[in-house]
Amino acid sequence: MRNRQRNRHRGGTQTLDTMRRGEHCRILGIDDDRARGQAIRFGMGEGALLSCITKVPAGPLVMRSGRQEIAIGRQLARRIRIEQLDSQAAC
Amino acid sequence: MATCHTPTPTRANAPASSTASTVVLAGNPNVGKSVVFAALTGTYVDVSNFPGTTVEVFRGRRGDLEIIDTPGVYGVGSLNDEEAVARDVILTADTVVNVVDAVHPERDLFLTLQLIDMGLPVIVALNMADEARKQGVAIDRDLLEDLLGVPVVETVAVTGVGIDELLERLPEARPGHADPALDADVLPLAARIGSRAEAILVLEGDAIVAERNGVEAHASADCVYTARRARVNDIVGHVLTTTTEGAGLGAHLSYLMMHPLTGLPMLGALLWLMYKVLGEWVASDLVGFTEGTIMNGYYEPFMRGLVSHVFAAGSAGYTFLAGEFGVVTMTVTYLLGVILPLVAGFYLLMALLEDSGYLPRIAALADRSLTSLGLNGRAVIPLILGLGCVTMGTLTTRILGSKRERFIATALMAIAVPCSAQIAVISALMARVGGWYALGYFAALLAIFVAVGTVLNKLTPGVSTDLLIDLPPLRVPRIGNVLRKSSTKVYHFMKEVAVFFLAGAALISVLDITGALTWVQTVAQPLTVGWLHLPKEAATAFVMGFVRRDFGAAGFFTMNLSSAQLLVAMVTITLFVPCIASVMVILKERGWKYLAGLLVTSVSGAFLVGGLLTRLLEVLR
Ligand SMILES: Nc1nc2c(ncn2[C@@H]2O[C@H](COP(=O)(O)OP(=O)(O)O)[C@@H](O)[C@H]2O)c(=O)[nH]1
Ligand SMILES: [Mg+2]
Repeated sequence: MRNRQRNRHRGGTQTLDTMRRGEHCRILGIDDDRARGQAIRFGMGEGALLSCITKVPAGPLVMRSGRQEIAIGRQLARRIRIEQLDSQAAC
Repeated sequence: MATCHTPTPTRANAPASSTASTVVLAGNPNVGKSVVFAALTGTYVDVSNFPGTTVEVFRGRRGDLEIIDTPGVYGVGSLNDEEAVARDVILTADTVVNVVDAVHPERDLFLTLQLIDMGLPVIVALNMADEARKQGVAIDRDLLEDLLGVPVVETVAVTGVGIDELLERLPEARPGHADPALDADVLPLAARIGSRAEAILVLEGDAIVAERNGVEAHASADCVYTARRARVNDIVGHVLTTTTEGAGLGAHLSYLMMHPLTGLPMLGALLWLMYKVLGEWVASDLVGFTEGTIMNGYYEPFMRGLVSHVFAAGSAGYTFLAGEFGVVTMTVTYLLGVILPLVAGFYLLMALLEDSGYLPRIAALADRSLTSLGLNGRAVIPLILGLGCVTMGTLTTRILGSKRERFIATALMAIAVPCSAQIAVISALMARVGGWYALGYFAALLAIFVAVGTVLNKLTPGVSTDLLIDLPPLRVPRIGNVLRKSSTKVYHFMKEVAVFFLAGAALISVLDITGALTWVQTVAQPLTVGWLHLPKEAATAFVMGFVRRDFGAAGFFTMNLSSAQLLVAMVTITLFVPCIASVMVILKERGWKYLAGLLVTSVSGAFLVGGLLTRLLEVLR
């Protein structure tokens, strides 16, 4: 809740759950202490470039960074701030 | 001022001259550590559950080297149990062999740099060199060696390529180029607590290591991690060249596995196949041979003959040893003729699943359904293991991220998940009745599973964690790896279970001989006969069910039950208390209050559901 309000205040800050298959983004921040430590180990910390390869309906998003695939629960995805990049991939 | 000081591991500083004793394998999950371990040691010599956890640590020897395999981790610390176990083993190392997946250096080198920052003597095994070549990933080994400051050896563990070189260069393992920016904070701390490795961990906020050394954990984890991540990216930028984009068939299959439209049928097919293999081939054909032909046909008559030389048939001694629940007859038949083939079949399938990379994809697929039960996708791992053995599943709940999830998953397994031994006995019994009844059994269990989970999700305080897992590439499983993994697990499982089985059979025999069993049957008559409409001998099966769940189900074998009675009996015994072994584990993991609550709920729930089902079936007929 708190995070979503903050996102709205910032205006335009997007969260990971809005990604669709084939879209690309850069991670701006992860508003979850536990997940942040884990994500940075995977190479998915702040600044990492990701592309969305699967979005399970109402379920997790599967993101690729490099050759690495990571599944991220929908709730957590709402707490990951991103910047969407132009998507070259046709989907 | 190191108060509660644990013995700091002593480490030889001059690696070449060290009498190299302890070599620890460390690396991310699924990078080939276990294969490297097997290649180095020849075989698995010893498996131990690390004190207090289930995370397995494998020990072996080669010459005068003690070699230890650790659980796969992405970093060392106390983010979860695996990390803590890996950390404590790594802290005892004289040499760390860091196994790195050449296909995923961006991910794996994070741990490498952490080990190097810790000042440990490291040698890197750049494994999966074949896979990297296939995927068009090239790593400049010499440059990587320079940048890290430690030896780097290319290996293909599965074919043994590079293992000799790894062994040869083991003495060259040395502390590499640590981040100099850390020194200002680390050096004074290291001087104070006497270990650079532990000082780094304290700096990264590891509260456990801090407490052991009587110091405060620092809050600089984020900043250390960010700097380390930047160094990893920088190194990878220098050493890595990719020629082709590694997508293709694997990527497409991966997508199909996780999309509900295609993933659910695939999962359904897998479960059906597992049932076919375990429930039909193994449970009836194979077990029919091992139990029926070998054990009942040859072994038991032979043992009865032997025992009758010492004790007269019908005497207490005879009943105890070779009677209906005989310690040397029925128990051995059960262990070797029924449980062994089943558990072997189950672990074989699990190892195949684990090796293929399918399990984490099932986790992603199941995440959505499991969140409504207060769990996340990760819980499929303990739950599926629970289908093998509830005890094993309960221990594995440690991989779950919160106390709340462990609470819910443990209860779900204890109440509504039948174990493989039990499924086998139940399948065998169900084979006698119509397919509708077998379907009814699984439908009833599924409904109860969902109901219990939904209620617990409402009632259990706290918040559950979210899914965040790494999906390993899909691979065709290696048969050698699968056999090695499953055979060690089967061995240790059998070893553990045999004692409980013997104790259980002995207990039942004593109850039988002293007449206590008849007493229980009479006392329980209102429940068994009055409420469940079963014969009064059913009480024996419930008592046995407490010893081992499948023991209980097997108790119904000799009773002449109608199809409806059988269904009621099976549902009730499944919901009824978990076996002694899992009761002990639950007591250890969750405490006595939890256990007491669980026992009361499951016993009353079992009889309530059983009674209602009896009436429902009678109305339907
Ligand atoms: N192609 C290839 N596969 C490997 C290599 N080393 C290990 N594997 C496979 O990678 C998977 C994971 O290996 P395992 O030793 O269980 O990984 P661990 O989790 O690090 O212990 C298994 O399917 C192995 O057969 C290698 O050098 N090349
Ligand atoms: Mg392993």
